[in-house]
Amino acid sequence: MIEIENVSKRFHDKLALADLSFTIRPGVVTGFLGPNGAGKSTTMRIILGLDHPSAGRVKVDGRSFSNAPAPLRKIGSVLDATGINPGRSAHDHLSAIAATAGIGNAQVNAALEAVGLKDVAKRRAGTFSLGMRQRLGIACALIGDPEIVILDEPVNGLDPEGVLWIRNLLKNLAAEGRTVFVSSHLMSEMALTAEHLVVIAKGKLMADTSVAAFIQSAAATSVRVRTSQPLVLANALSGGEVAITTATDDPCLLTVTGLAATEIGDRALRAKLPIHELTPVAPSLEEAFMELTRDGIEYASTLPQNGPRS
Amino acid sequence: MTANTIPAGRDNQLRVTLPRVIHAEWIKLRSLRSNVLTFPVGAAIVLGMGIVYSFVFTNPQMVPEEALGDYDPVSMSLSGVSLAQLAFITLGVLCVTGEYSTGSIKGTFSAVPKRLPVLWAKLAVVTVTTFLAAIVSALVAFFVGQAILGGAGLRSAQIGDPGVLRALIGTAGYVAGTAFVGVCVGFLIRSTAIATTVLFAVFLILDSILGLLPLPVYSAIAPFLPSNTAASFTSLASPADRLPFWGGLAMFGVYMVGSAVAAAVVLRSRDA
Repeated sequence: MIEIENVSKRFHDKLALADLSFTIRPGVVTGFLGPNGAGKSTTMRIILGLDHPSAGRVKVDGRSFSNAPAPLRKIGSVLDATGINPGRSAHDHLSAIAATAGIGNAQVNAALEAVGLKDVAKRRAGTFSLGMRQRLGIACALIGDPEIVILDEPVNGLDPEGVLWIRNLLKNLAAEGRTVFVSSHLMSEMALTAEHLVVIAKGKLMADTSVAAFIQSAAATSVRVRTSQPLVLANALSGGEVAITTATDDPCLLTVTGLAATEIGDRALRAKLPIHELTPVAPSLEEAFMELTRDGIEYASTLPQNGPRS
Repeated sequence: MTANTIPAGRDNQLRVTLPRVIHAEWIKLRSLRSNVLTFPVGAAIVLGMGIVYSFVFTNPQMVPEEALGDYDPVSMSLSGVSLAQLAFITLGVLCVTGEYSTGSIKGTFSAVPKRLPVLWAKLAVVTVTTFLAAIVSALVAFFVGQAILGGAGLRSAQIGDPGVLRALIGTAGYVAGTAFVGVCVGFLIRSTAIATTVLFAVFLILDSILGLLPLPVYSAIAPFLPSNTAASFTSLASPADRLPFWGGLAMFGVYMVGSAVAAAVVLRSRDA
C-alpha cells in the first residue's frame, strides 16, 4: 500500500504537485491518468525517493521507501524504458540491477526468457526497439518479486500483442495481491486494464475512484432522441436543468441532458409525439477524462474539438 | 492489504548490502567496451611514453651530458603517468555521468534508494581497478625504462633501492586517487563534458595558469595544488619546492576525502 499525504513539489517557481493526497491499495490495478505535464512522473519519482517532496510525505507500507531493506522486493518499477546504457547488453543491464539484491544469473536468464528477450539477451540495448526496451524494463521491475509494481506508460511503443501481454500481466500481478500502479495517457487502455483510477491535472487531484464511478460522475449522461417533430418535442422537454441540442446535419436528432430516457419517453407519449430512437449515451472514459481535466490541461491545443459540443 | 499469495520471507534474502552493490558496479564497469578499453589504453600510454622519454634522454644529441644533472630515473620512466591519468579520470567521471545521460540512474537508485552505497561502490570499483592497472603498468614501465637508461650507461635505479617501491606505489595510488576524484566530481556535476573539462583544467593547466601570479604568491600556493602534491610521493625524493612526502600524501588525501564528502552531501540532498 502506498499512501501519498499532502505532497507538494516545487521546481524553481513552478508548482508541479499541489497538496496531493491519495492511497494506492493492493489487489487491484490502479490507473494513474492526467494530461501531459500533470505531474504523473513527478509523483512516481517521489514515491520511489528519486525526488524529494517540497512538502508532505509518501509512505510505502508505512514507511519511506528509502528505508526499505530490500527495495527490489518492495517496489519494482519502470519510470523510463529508454533509461538503459545503449552499450550494455540486456543481460548485463538486468544482472547489474539484480546483483544489488544478490539475485544471480539463473533468475536473470529466467526473467529475460519470461519477457521474450532470451534470444537477444547478449545484444547491446542500443539496438533494441522501444517495445524491446519496455520488455527489458518489465524484467527489471519484476526481478525481485515485488509487492508493489509501478510502471510509467508501459504500453508505449508496444505492438498489439505486447499491449495485450502487459494488460494480462498487470491484471495477474494484481490478482496475486500485489499493488499495481500504472500511468497512461491512453484512457481506453486504462478502461480495459484498471479497476481503480487516480486522475490528476496541473498537480491537483481530480478524481480517486473506481473506473465505473468515474465515467458516471465525470460527465452527465445524455440521451439521443430522434423524432419527426423536434421543435414540439424540445418544447415538451425543456425547463429546469434540461439542455437540448440539435445535430447540425440532422434536424430530427436531439441530444438531451438532464432527463432520463424513461422520462423523455413518458413526456413524448403524453404529448402524443412519435419517437423513432431513444438511446442513453454513456460517455467513454476518454470523454469523461477530457471533461474532468479540461480546465487543468497544461498544454492545450487551440484547435477546435471535433464534433458538436455545446 | 491481503498480499496472501506473495511468498513471504524473501525480504532478508534480497537485502541490499554494500558488497552486493559493489558487485553490481563491477558488472556495470566490465560490461561497457569503452570502460574496458581504458585499461589497455592507459597502460599503453604509461609504457609507451616511458620508453620514448627514456630513449630521448639517452640520446646525447637531444640531452647534452652537462644537462643530465641530478635527474630522477624513476620519474623518467613514469613520464606517461600524467597523460594516462586523464584516461582514468574520464573513466571515473563516465561511470557516473553515463548513468545520468542515459537515464539508467533511475533504475540504479530505485534498486538502491539509500543512494550512498552506490557512491561507495563506484569509488571502490573504480579506485581498485585503476590502482591495479596503474601499478602493473608502472612496474613494467619502470623495468623497461631502467633497462634503457642503464643500457646507455646512464644512472638507473633498482627496484630494491630506497624509495623506489614507495614511488611506484605512490604513482599508482595517485592515478587511482584522481579516478576516485573523477567519480566524486561526476556526482557533483553530472555532465560528462563539464566534469572532464573541470578536472583536466585542475590536474593539467591550473598550475601553469597560477604561474602567471607574482612568484611569491605562486610559490606559496603551488605545493598545495592537487597536481603538485603528487610530486611529493611519486618521485624518489620530494622536490625542494614541494611538500614533504607525508605532507603531500596528506594534502592529496584531503582532496580525495573532501570531494567524496561533497559528493555524498549532494547525492543525499539533490533530486536524482
